Amino acid sequence: MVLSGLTTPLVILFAAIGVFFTLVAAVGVIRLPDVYSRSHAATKADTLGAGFSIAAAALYFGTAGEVFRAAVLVAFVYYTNPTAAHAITRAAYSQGVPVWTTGDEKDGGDR
Amino acid sequence: MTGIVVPVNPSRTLSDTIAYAAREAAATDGELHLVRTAPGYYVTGAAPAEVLAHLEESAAIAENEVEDLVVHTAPLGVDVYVSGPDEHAELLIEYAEANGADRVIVDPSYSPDATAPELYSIERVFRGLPIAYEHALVDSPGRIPSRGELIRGGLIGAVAFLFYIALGGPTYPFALATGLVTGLIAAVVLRNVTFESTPDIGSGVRIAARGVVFVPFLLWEIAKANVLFAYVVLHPSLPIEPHLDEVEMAVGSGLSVTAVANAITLTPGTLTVDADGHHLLVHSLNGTAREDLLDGLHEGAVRNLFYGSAEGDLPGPGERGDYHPIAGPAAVTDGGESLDDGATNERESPVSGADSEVSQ
Amino acid sequence: MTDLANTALLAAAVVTVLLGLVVLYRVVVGPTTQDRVVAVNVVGTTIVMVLALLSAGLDRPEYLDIAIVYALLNFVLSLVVGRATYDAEGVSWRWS
Repeated sequence: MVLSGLTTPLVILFAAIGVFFTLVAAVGVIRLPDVYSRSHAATKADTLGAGFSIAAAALYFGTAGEVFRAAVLVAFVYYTNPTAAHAITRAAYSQGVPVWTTGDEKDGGDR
Repeated sequence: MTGIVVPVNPSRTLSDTIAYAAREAAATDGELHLVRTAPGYYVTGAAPAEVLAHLEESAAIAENEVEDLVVHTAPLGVDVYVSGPDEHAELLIEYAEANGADRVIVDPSYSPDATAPELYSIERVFRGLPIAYEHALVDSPGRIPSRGELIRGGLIGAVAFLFYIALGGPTYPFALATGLVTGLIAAVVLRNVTFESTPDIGSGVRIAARGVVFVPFLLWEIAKANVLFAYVVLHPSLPIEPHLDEVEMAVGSGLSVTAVANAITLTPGTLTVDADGHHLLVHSLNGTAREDLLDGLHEGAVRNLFYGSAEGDLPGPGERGDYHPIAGPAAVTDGGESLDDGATNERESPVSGADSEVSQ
Repeated sequence: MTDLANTALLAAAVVTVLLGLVVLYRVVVGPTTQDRVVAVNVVGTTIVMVLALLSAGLDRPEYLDIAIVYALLNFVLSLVVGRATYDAEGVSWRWS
């Protein structure tokens, strides 16, 4: 393929960005103080990380069938992750899980 | 004075229902009110011509059935954003109370939108509200699908089939055959589930065309704000300042509310926790994200997508005052008093927005 | 040349797996059910990513189909738990 000279660095770049945002998501889920703010990490950083990782795979293959599958996968993750977070935080709020606000103890949610 | 309210929406048993309600009204010496809730975002105060024409037709049926009957018609929800069966029902109850009507007669196949009555029954909505309702005693509809059902089913079947063969391979006869069967099943099962109103091709194409602008905008916002989020999370002192706000979004219809809610959730710093009609409960991680939300960043984009840029210009929820802090520093400083309100006041005024700035 | 891309993709998959293991800490610690489900959801998304990266790294396009199914199951899990732990009586946030 003509483009393969450019493809390899792009694949590596996308995979690296994907890993970076997964790292942000993991750190966020561990560090943030309550279930609502942890959901932020789960929906955003993780979704973006997944987008880049899957894009790296799609770029690597470059064939129509695989690119379509990857696009379906990305669209699906982008649509379902916010919905899942919404379902969970809604349940948490209905059960009265308190919202952490500035001034509460920082690791209050840990135990 | 007694009165009977009948919500009308095109269905095959509608004329029988109106005739039944007209006879009932005549028997009890009451008046007949035919109302139709306008869907979505008609906030200009004027009902769409199609709604008015349909109300006229319905009134004619009642007048043919019983002579000298007082028939009122009214379009509802033309100055407020309406989203979901609950808000349709709330409008209905408010109308009934204002006009001294004490009975609601419902068409057995009535549904405020194109979803199946079985899926989200109007009874379930009425059960929690202070009014007597009953079904009209009419013959149950036949099995002939209506035009709307055919359009919706056909669209679902076509999309399902194309998706199936795109994954299965368009040259593989087995995939074509099973795809055809799958598409058919999807069309039959989901014809009254997937859409809120029968899609019309023109507005569908316009929304798809504006989606070409909306999706890159959304992706750019996601990418930009994710960098900020990464900074906040990786910063040693974790500089967050969470807020929880109730925000009233100036959009109608389930699809546009979903779009706003998901845009809010995907943009780092804000997360939709719960939704009730077009009221959203939003958690924001820091002050800047909350300001973006109250400036109408997400709402404006979705209004542009669904209603076009001519309708898009509206001050954000913050400027309109359509928000209410529930937790976080803002709730303590500028909403302390109403915070207590928020904890105790549960759905006291069912129809909000009617008197707020949304109705402009 | 593609060897380099393959190696990078596999390395990314390894790092992603390790990050998923880190998130398991939150699954264990909680404290609420919802915290655990959020964490499981993150682990699920990382597994989807790992499947996508592996499919490219090992030249196995069929793994992408597995990733699609996995993403679907991950979503269903969150919805079911969200619905099962939803307390309809406890909601009173609508103010206006």
